[in-house]
Amino acid sequence: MKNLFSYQLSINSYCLLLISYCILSIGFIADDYFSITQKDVAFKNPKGFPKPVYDLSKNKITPAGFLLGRKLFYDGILSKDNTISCASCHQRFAAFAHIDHQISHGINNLIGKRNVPALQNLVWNSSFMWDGGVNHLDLQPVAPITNSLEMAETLANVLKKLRQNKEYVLMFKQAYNDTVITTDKFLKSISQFLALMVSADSRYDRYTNGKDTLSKSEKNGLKLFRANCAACHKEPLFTDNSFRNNGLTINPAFNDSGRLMITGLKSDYLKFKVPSLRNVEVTYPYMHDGRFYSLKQVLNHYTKTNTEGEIRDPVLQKGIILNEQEKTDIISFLKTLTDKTFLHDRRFDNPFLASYIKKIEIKPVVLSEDELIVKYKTSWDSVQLKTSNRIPQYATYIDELDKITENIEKHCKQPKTKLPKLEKLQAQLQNSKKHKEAIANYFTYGQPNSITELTEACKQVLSIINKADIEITNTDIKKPSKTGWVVLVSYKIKGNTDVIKTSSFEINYNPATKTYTAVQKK
Amino acid sequence: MNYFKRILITTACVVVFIIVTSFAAPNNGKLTIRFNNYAGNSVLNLDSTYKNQLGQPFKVTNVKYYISNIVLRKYGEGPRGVVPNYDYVSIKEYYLINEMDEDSKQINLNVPIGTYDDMTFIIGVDSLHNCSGIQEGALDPINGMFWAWNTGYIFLKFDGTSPLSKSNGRILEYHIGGYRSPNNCIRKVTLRLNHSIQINSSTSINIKADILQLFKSPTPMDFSKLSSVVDFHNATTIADNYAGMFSLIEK
Repeated sequence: MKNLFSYQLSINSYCLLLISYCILSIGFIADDYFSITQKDVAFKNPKGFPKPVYDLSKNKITPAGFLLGRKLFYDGILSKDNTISCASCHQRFAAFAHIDHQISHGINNLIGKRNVPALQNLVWNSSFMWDGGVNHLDLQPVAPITNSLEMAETLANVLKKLRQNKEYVLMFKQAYNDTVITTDKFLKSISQFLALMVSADSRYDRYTNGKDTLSKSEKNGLKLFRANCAACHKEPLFTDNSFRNNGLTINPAFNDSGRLMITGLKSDYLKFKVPSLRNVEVTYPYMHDGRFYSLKQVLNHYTKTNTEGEIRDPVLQKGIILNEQEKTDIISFLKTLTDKTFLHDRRFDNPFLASYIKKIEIKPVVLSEDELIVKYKTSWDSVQLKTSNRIPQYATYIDELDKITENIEKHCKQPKTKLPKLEKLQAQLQNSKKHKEAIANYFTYGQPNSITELTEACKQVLSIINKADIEITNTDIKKPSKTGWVVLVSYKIKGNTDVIKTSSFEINYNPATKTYTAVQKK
Repeated sequence: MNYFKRILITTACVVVFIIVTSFAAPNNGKLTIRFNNYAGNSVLNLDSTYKNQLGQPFKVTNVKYYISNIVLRKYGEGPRGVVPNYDYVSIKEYYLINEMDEDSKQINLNVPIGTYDDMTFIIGVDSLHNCSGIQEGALDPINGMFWAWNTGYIFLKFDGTSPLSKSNGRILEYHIGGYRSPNNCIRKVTLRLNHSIQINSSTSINIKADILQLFKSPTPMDFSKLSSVVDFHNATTIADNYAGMFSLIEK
């Protein structure tokens, strides 16, 4: 299960609680959660990383500058109608990509034409955007701010709004010892915030530094990755910052010719930037137009023998050959690039939540288990208002529950509080009425954790029915049902490649065991 | 002993400095370069209707352009132009000339007094300053002469209207920029000063910028076919035209 939304909650690190009879809970938010000290803004070049491209000596990061940049990043004031902030599309828990959104969304529900890229290790980027159109980190924010489909604002008007805002005038004064708000100071503050978004503490990093181990499958995945993928996704940044045509056919809906629009060179037709694969597990969907929702689909694309793309990068000309097991290994390796230190880093959290969190600070009270769910949901919903209007996945809900029980355990490790075992507490929570209601609600709107998992469930059932190995050629989620999903799969029996059959399944998810059950529908 | 040596050296330095600066100071004169926008032979008027080379009528809404890397050159001894210039003054400043802003059209400089044979400048912003992050002053992106999606300055912005335009609102928009080959729109202008300019305490150079030339040669513009240039497509065609837009107004 993915820990997608859980951090939002963990930050709240609020409450505690209770157990069956009545106990005490202690409200708690670390006072320094949103504060930033000199130590917090120290830039350290991670071991093995090259020298940054961005010249940090020309924009020294200070706590006040970083705080200002963080506020700007999370503030809708940058957009024409004050509703869209950078964080509207760049979500912290998704390494600042827009999780589960194929194409970027902007003002008045307008849709862009490309997938929101993750924001991480930006100081090592030599250019920005999928087409590399922006050549300097300081100038990058101007593009979304002025794009009519994104924030649709003018630079002049943003500065005007900031100058009229007492809080910002004060923050600029604190950061630059000057109340005059200029383009230069405005953009450099955002850069200070962005520059510290460094992801270099994934399991992969710890493994290469001798601090962690990888499983057999992950190690094999790394080996295969180095042999097949690393030519473009170069370690340790997992990109070589180049632009390449990876053989994707042009999507007529967007008609996006890629880097050609920047350079005017015909040879750049359909070339896009090689993205970093760090945190790739949480940055789906993939590719410049978000056409693939799973890593398996991505690997299937690269291992296709006959590409329909018109031009293809030389390193991909001879194709990549991987069997199913090898694909699985590569995917398990890619998941070691998930950097929880980065994804949970409190420094990047939404400062506008500070006042909210203050409001819900809980004094020691008696809570029932139902109330735990209620409090928990309240907090979550409020966070959601700030981030996405989509209701998160059911799986995430379960993960958050894990998180909260962990928090309870952590905070109750006080001598006077006697706690039942965590497992017992968890079981009680999961059996509670409120919890079941919550599940029902989220299920209705929820989404599967990944298509791969649903496909796998169908595959298992089909191979039993057919008494043969099955290859699923297409998976289509028809609709979410009350307790799961209705899925239509196309499949063929291995060795009998001509006949493609379709079958419909009702798939259910059991939160307690975290397993799927698939039932074939007549 | 050491102490006296130091005093002596310091005094000597101060004396030399005073002598040098007293010689250098009166060597500067004021030079005013004025850009005058014209349409053919008359001063540009935003209310007038003009005709392009093909006789198509149009009106000008506004014109803005960058002038930078101004260099004043003196030729050496010997036949003019044959011997490489041996002395020049280079101005490291960027100017945004805006038809609607009278003050922007006048550039005030302090340059060494002397006789100058020609003057060069570029229309646009050199590639270095297109790649150096945020700039201030005339190059502040807030001036709107900046592309956010493809970092770089718009060197010349012509906005107007023509009944022949096929664009919405019958507008004409030629926003020309780009510093990368093969769509480099930076153009260098050399103005030969027919009689050498003697810059003394206060001198003016008047430059004519003929807006009609934007649509004239080498490639005449047909407004009914091309009314909008806002990226690299066709940009160099107009850049080649504006390269010939500037001339000296002789007194």
